[in-house]
Amino acid sequence: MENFYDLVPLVVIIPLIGMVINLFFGKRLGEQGVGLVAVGASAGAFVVAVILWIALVNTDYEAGAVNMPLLGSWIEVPSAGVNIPWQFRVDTLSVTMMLVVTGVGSLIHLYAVGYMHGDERFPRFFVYLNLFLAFMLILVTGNNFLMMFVGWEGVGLCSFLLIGFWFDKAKGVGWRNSDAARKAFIVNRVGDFGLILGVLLTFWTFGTLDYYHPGEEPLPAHHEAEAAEEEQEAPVYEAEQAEEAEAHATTEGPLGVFNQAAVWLEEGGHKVDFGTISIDFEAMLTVITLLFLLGATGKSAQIPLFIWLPDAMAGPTPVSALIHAATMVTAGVYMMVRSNVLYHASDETSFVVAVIGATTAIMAGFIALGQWDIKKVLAYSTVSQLGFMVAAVGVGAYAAAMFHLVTHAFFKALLFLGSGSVIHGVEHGHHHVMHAHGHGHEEEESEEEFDPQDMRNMGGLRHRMPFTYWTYLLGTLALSGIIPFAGFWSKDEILVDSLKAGLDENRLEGYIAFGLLLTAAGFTAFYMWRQVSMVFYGKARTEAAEHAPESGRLMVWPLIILGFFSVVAGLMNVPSGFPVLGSIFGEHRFTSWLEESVVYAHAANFQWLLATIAVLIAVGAIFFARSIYNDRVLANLQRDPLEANPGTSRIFALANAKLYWDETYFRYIVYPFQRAAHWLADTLDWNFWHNWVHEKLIYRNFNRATQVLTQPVDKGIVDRFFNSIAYVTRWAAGRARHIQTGYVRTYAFSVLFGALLIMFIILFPVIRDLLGL
Amino acid sequence: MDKPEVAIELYVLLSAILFILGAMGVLLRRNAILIFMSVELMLNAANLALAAFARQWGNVDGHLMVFFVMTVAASEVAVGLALIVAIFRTKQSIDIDDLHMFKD
Amino acid sequence: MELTLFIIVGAIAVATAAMMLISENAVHSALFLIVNFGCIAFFFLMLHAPFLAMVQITVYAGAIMVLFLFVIMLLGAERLLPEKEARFPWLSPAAVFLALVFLVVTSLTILRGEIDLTEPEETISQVRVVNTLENTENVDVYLGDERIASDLSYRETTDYQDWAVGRYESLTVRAAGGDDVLYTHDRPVDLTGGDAIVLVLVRSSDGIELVTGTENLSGIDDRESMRVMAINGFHDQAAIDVYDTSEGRDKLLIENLAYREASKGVVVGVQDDMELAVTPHGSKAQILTVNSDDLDFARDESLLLVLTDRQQPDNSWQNVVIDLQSDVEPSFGSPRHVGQLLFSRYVLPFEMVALVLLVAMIGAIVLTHETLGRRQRRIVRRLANPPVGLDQPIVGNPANPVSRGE
Repeated sequence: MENFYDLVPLVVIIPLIGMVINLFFGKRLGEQGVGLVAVGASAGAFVVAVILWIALVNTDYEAGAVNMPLLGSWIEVPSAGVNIPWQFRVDTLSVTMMLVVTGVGSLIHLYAVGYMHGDERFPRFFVYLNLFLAFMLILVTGNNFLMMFVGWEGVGLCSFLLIGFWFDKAKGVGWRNSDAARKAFIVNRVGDFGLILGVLLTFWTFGTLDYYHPGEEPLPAHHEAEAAEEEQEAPVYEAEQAEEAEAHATTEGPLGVFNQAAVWLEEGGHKVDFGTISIDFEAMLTVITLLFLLGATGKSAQIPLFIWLPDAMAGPTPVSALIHAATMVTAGVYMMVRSNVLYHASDETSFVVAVIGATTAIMAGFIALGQWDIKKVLAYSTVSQLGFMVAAVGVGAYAAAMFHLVTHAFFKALLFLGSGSVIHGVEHGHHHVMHAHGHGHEEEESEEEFDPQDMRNMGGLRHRMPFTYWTYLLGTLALSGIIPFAGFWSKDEILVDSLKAGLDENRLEGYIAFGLLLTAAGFTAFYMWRQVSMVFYGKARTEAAEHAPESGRLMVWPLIILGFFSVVAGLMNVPSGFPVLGSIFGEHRFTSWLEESVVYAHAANFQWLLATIAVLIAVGAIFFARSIYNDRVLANLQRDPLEANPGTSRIFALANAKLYWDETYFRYIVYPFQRAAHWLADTLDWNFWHNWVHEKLIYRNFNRATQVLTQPVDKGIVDRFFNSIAYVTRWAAGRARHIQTGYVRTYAFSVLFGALLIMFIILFPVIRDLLGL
Repeated sequence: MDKPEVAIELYVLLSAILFILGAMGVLLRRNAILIFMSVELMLNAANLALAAFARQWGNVDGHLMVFFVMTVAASEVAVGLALIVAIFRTKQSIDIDDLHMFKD
Repeated sequence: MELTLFIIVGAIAVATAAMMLISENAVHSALFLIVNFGCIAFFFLMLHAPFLAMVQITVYAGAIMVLFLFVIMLLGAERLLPEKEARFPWLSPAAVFLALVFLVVTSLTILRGEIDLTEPEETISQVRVVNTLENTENVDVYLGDERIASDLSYRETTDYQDWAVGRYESLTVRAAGGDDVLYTHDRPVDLTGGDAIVLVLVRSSDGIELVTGTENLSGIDDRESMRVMAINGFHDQAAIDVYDTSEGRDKLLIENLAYREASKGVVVGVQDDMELAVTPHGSKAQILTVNSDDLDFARDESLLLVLTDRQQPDNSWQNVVIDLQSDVEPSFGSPRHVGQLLFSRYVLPFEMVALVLLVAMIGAIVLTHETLGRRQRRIVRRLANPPVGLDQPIVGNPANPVSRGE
């Protein structure tokens, strides 16, 4: 079965082929052809991922490394010992990501065919989407940090292109879109700067960028403390296994980054040399992981770099679903889970990670309370859920983070696609109304005023869009963490793990994360139910909402499929101790699957009390939300009831203003930067450098020097000399051209004359004798 | 083989005289046909010299050279006269001075 | 006699050339030129080039000049149109001056004997070997280090072979196919340029001797004659005479031919019944006769008689003649001579000249083809009058122009 690993390059190549076909023939293929190619490419990649999954299961989870054909040795400097191959890694972690990216991606591609129908740049959209898939798959399948970085930058590029996809919309909307695209790109630069520094330091420290060299087994974790506590594990067996694997691995020559780190950590006292100074290896690890964390905060939208993600909703909704909810933004989490050996080793980093994640989760959850835009709510929800995942990494619950990543991909993609369906419907309804009223010239103006994404313009869509409503409801329940939907299991595992980190390991960040996340879970249920109420319940508040049609089959089917997974996806990792389900679906299936590649993945027991509290909080928040946003309020929703209530109006204003994050950034970073740039441009560049150095010092003196060289030297001497040569030449030519008469006889004369001349030359000695010379 | 009674110098001299007469014809006459005939005369002068030297050295290769010259002259006459006819058709003249198309 | 003829005919040639030059009427010029060509044909005859003379008359004076006359008549171009003003007044005096300079220089040069009349050296000589060694096995003969004859049997002769001119230091006779040296010539062998050299191996009292002779293969002027040459290889080493004793003749052909000598070629008229007799020098006692019964006295050929004797079983000596006939070269300048060269050494130039003729023929046809000229004139006319309105853009119906863009 390992031969099937050789297929892994296809997972990247197939979307690239689809992209190339659409790039060159997109205009000619038409919408159907383009859609077929793009969805086919995505589905093809999914098929390959499934084959790899089966192969992995059948080889007893043996990880494999496959070199890209033709690109095998990518960067190779033998003299410097640099060897970074273009190598794919097939293990449980990468296959998980592949399945999520291609599976959810294929559904979203399918949905987008319906959503983008009629767009004038339809082929280009799918070129971008396929390109994104290719880069995302490079990111998750690469066997070294540099390939991950390539994918990382590539998905950033695609994100930029797709956020600004409608850069040419009328009346400033286009500007807003392209501004959002630039914001995303520039903010990500900061994170990527951290990531590349981290990669370079990794290379300096380890001399390689490979996660594991081909054929290398991950060294087992050091469960000195944990092994004793975990009752089901057999410590003797594990210790034996560890020794065996270690001996096996250490004799295999150079080690990959993670195993090398494990070996050095165990030996202790290793130093990293920086010429004159050397640093403790452990401290070095902290620096590297913090830099990686900076990259993750950029890509995965954490404090302080999350500000780009809400603006990124300017892109088409499928893009929001695929890139800014399900896949790309989870790259940071994936990267940290991939580097779990390093993160596990650094307590300081773990603390920072957990705090950042938990703070982000509650902060974004709070902001989501005050948003009117349907997609903004979901965006902040995404930031919040990403915070959950990051916090999980921080408390060492790598499996839980991945688990939440997978379930979140399903239900958040579902919610985004559902919101897209709603927007689509409202927009169509608006068009319908405009047409019915026959407004000719007013149409453009009113279209600008009418915002199909504003929840105040919706209401009562439950009846108009039944499929959308029911699937949306499933997604909402999953996100809110209601048992037995997918979100419950993953969220519960994160909460359990953080609490355990606090109780068992006495780690402060465990308590912090637990408290904040539990609160954030309540916020989640609240703002989601607020949204569902505003969109689907009550009566239609505009004519557009009244005439909104259900979306087409191409858009509904992906919703149904994703809805199904939102319900059942959690069952793949039923915690131990849960009755009935555990025996049906197996306990900790997903965690034990991940354990094959994520060294520090571990499972948590089910905690009845905790789960009950969490579900109660969620249910309570739902009822609370429904009671506030009741049908009476919904009938005339110009102001939010929280805003109307004097006790909570300031809080709502704070949430509505997004906690003034953007303003703060502008005030303390952007404006000072602009002032500095102005100063540099005006004073330094223009006044000093241009006006003084260039104009006065160089230009004027140069002019003076050239004046001297031009007038007397060049014009006086050189020009006169060459002009006289030219004059002589012209004069001589003017004389000589009379030789060319055009008459045959003169040419014949020249021939005879020339012949005589030659004869004279030949006979010269004879003639000399004749003349007696 | 016995040497010729008439010295070869005389033949060469005669050949030179005929040649320069032909050259004068080319230079001085304006009738294109006459110029052609003068060229033929020049060729014959050269032929005479060739035959004389062949006799001098008892080497018949010179005769072959004469033979080839004659053949080429025949083809030259054919093409040349055809040209003259063609030119006469367009210009209604065979005055060589009317043909100054080499320039402008 | 020849000189007188040359002067008379040369004067006619110069006079006709000058007349051709100055006569106003092109037909007269052509006629003068024909006479001139006739003179040159005469000179070709005097220069022993009958073939060229013939061709000169038929091709030049005949065909080519007829062509000239025909074109002159066709175009009605006997005279040029009324004289325009002379275009290059300086040309005539300058040309005449050049002509005078040319004549003075060439005639002075020629008359002072500056023409290099030294004959070019021949670098090839033809060599053949004759074996008259009756009692030995077959032999190989080496001239210098190179083998000239291999496996040569008694009375056998090699063909003429081309050898580089020079002095060869040794001549070695070896048993055929082996290294046994039977004989080494103790004097060098000289091969002279342009000659046909015969090397004859004869038996001497103390073994083998080499006799060299030079055969004259040049053309015989009298086609009814042949050339006879003898080599004396009698073992008694006495000098001999050769007589022509044919019927009605008794003529001493070769006198006092010493042993190991080769005579010069003697031209003998050929008649039906021929007999040659060999006598000791000064005696009339014929020791050997050769007549038409023994061998073929062919006309226009060269006959080489190698006179030897061989020992009989009873120790008496029998005289033997080995006759070698070879073609002589054709007489100088004859059509046969020219033709032979044309189809051997000059085949490629001949073919090329034929090709030139063919191309010229096609070229003449194309150039004078009637329609060609007409088509050219039509093209000129069309270009001279371009269609009206081509400079204006034609877009749709001018009355109802197509609008472009929004």
